[in-house]
Amino acid sequence: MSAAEASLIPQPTSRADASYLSFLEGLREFVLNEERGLDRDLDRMFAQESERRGQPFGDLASITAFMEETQAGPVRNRMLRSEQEMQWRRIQKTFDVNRAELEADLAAFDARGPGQLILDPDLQTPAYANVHFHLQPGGYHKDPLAGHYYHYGTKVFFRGLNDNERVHKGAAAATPLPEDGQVHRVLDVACSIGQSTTVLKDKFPDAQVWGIDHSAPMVRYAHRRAVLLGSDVNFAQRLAEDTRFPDDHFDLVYAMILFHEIPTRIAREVVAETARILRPGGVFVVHDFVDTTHSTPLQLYHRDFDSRFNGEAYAQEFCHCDFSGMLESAGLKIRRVIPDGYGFMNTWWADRAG
Amino acid sequence: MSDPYHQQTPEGGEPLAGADPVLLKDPVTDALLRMVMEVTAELWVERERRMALEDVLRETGVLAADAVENYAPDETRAAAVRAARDELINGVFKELRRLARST
Repeated sequence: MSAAEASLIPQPTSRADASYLSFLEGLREFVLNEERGLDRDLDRMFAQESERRGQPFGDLASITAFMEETQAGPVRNRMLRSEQEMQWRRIQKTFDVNRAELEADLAAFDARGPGQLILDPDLQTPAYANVHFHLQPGGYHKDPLAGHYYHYGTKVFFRGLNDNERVHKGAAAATPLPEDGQVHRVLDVACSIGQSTTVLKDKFPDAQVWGIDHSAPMVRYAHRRAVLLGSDVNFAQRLAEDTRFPDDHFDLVYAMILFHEIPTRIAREVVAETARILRPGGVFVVHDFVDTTHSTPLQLYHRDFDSRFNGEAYAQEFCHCDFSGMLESAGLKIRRVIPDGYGFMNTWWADRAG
Repeated sequence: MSDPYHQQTPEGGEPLAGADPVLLKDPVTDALLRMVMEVTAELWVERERRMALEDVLRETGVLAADAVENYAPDETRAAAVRAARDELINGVFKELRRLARST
């Protein structure tokens, strides 16, 4: 990553903390790497067992029963769960050393430009958001340093793959235009620390770009990050299901890994709200989990593990809902559904009728 | 909500499955695996620091490239190193001796 972008990631306060967290990044790679990780061995184990039984694995219950009989399955659970716990403990410890300075630093950026930051102290955090997503202490909104935790936590979580925002840049690079090619206003819903928001501004430099999130610590961190990048984007503390933008306002609405973090009933509200604020001919771009129809046994097991032990309270709901149907029920027309090739993520392009 | 995930995680902000689930059948083995992870992490922290230290010493000309590799302590120093080694071994494995004595 470039020095400028590297400096935007909050740095651990000691060499020991940095190398401890680097170790955890490597440990995740040891388990999860598709080519050489423990998961490759587990995939083979499932294949061998399936061959021995003379039939493919069926439902989650049979997959879980088999995994829990094996020696490697529970060890995988223990390692992934402990890695997350170790990661958050160390991240919290390392940033708490400078808590006062970090909070003062955030406050110093609130009123700076080029973009604006709109906070809403009266916003009631919905109960559904009161979850320790991925076990992050305090969830996404309770700790004033939630953005700092999230930025470094996701660096470890992505095993370095998102250093320099590679994941966000790759996803945004493939963002389609509305059919008429006109992009003047862009919204990044549930933007967290604004990584997609600034990348969208880079892609559409003449457009007015907004990022919204329910979490004040996240949008404050996103705003500070954008100011440091010199990116003229705006952030507001608002709900994805109640954006408070006018009807027919945006040419492009973007949602990166939002929907599996909210209950299905709220997902329907978010889709309806998006259909309202998209202008006729505008496009809604969604990156999120796939349904489980074509998942491997290990992918099915992992999704369930994440829901039971890793703070993914709503991921199962999302994976079993008909998301394409939900988009179409709100009057959006699916242009494309693009799988990521690994069986984890889809991209949906859905147009509002012109 | 009726699905098991909401039952386990009411929208109240508590970590799933409690703060500290045991995931292996035997709680002792569960604890041992966690300990191995922590010990290996701390081993890496120490090793990374020592590598950095040796790099700094070499780059500032304090050490020759092969100085650590070829370092041969005199007999007094070698005895102190052996004593430190045995102290570590006895400290870590003393529980095994306790088990042996109790059987």
